[in-house]
Amino acid sequence: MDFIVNVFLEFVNKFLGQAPLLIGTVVFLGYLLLGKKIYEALAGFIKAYVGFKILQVGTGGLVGTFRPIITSLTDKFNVTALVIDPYFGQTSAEVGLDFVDSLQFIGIVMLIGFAWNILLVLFRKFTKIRTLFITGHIMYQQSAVLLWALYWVIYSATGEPVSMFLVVVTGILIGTYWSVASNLLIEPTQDVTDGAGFTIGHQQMFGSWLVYQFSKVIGNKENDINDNHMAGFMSIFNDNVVSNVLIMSIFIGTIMFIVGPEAFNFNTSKYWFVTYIFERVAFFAVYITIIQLGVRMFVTELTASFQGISEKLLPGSVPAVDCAVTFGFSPNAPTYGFIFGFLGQMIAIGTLIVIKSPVIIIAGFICLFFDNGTLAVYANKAGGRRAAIIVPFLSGLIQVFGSALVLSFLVDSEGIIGWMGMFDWATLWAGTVILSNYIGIAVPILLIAGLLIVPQIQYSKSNKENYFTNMKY
Amino acid sequence: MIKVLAACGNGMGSSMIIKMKIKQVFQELEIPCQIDHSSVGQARGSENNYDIIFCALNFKGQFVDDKKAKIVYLQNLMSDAEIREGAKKALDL
Repeated sequence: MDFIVNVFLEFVNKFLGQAPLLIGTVVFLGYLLLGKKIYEALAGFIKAYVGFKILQVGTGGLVGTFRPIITSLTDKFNVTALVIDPYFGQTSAEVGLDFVDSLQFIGIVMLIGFAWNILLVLFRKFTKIRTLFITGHIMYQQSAVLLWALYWVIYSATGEPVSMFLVVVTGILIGTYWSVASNLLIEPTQDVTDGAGFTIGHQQMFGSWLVYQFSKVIGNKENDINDNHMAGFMSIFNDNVVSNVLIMSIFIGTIMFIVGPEAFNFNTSKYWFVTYIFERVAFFAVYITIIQLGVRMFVTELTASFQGISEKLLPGSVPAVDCAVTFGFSPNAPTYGFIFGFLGQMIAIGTLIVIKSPVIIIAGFICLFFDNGTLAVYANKAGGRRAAIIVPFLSGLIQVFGSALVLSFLVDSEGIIGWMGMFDWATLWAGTVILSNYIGIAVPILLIAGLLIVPQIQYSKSNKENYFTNMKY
Repeated sequence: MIKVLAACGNGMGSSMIIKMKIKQVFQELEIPCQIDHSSVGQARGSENNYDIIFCALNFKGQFVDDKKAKIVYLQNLMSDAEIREGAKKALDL
C-alpha cells in the first residue's frame, strides 16, 4: 500500500507538479487526439516545454530587475510601487503560486475553463452562450492571476498549496467569464466591424459593453474620430519594445532619481547614473520580449490543439479573439485611447501620491494602449469624438484606483510586482477579490451563478429569431 | 513552397488568428505554403525571407515594399474573403 502511495506521490510531485511537463503533456495528448503523427505530437511537447522554460527566464529577469527598485522606494518612503500591466500581473501570480508549490495548477485552471466554455456552448440552446474564447495567452494570464489572487485573500494564511477545490472553482469561474462576457459583446462588435462575425476575447469585454451603452448617452456618433488623420509620431507606439522603454523611462527613471544614486550598487567607473537608469529601464523591454517569446511558443502549441478540438465539437460558434483585431476598423482609436487614458492614469497616480497611499501605481503600456484603445473603439462607434475622449480618461482613472485598491490586499504576496490593471480586472475582478477577502469562497461560487444569468437576460431582450444566426460569417 | 508571414502588434493574439485563416485559404487554393507568425517589430527586416506578409491595415508604413515580399494589409483580420483576395493578388492569380 505504501508503495502505491509513494509511486502516486512521485508522479504528482515530479510530473503533474512540474508546470512545463504538464503543459507539454496536454499538448502531446491533444495532438494525438487530433490524429497527428506521434513525431508531430512529440515536437509539440518539446515546443511547449521549452516555451514555458523561456517564459520562466523572462519572469525571473523581470522580477530580478524590478524588485530592487521597488524595494529601494519602499525603504526610503514606505510606499510600494507596483505596475499595472498584464505581464506584471502574470509574473506576480506565477511567482506567488510557485512559492506555495502551486505553479502547475495554472494550466489546470485554464483547461477547466476552456472545457467549461465548450460545454456551455455545446448546450447553447439552454445557456444562450454562442462564443468560444480562443485567445490562448490571455487565457493563461487570467487563469494565473485569478487563481493567485483568490488563493492569496482566502487561503494564504494556511501556507498550504492551492487546493483542488479552489482550482475547480476558479476554472469554472474564469470559463464562465470568458463565455458570458464575450457573448455579451457580440452585438456591439458587429456594429463596430459592420458584421464581421467575431467578438472579443480579451481583458475588457464587460468594460467595452458598458462603454458602448454609456457612449450612446453622452456622445454623438456622427463625429467619427476616424474621419481625420493623426500625427505620424504615434506610429512608434506600434512597436512595444520602443513603447515599453519610453514609458518605463518616465516612471522608473523618476523613481530612481527620487531615491538617488546611493541606493543602487552600480560600477561608477562604467556608468553615469543616467546611463545606469537607462540600462535598467531597457531591461524591462528585454524581459518582456523574452516572456512574449516563451508564451508565444507554448501558446501556439496549446491553441493549435484547442482549435482542432473546438472545430470538431462546435461548428458555428463565434470566436472570441484578441482585441487588436478591432483596431483595423477604427485606426485612430488606439491613439485616442492612449493619450486620454494616459492623462487619466497620470492624474490618478498623482492623487495616490498626494493622499500618501501605501500603494502607488506605475502605468503599464498594454493597459494604456490595448485596453484604452479597445474601449475607445466602442466609445467612438456609439458616441463619436466626445466619447472617445471622455471614456479613456475615465477608464485611466478607474484602472489606477481599482488596481491600487485590490493591490492593497495582495501587497504582501511573495515577489509581487504588479496587477493586470485592464478594465475588467480593475473593476469586476478587483471587486470579487476584495469581497472574497472578507466573505470567502462563497463569493466566487455565487459569481458563477450570477454571470450565467446575464446571457439569459440578454436573450430575452434580443430579437430571438436571429439571436443564434445573425453572424454573417 | 510559398513562404508566408502573419504579423501583428504583439506576435501572439491576432497573428495566430490570421495564420489559421491563411492556412485554410491556401488549402482551398491548393497552394502549398509554410506560414510563420511574429510581431511586426520582429518581422521588419524579414521582407526578403518571405513571399507574402499579411498584417493589419494600421501597420501600413512599417514594412519596406520594394523587397521580395508582397505586403497584404487587412482591414478585417477575420475575413476569409479579404485574405483570399489579398493572397490571389499577391500571387498574380
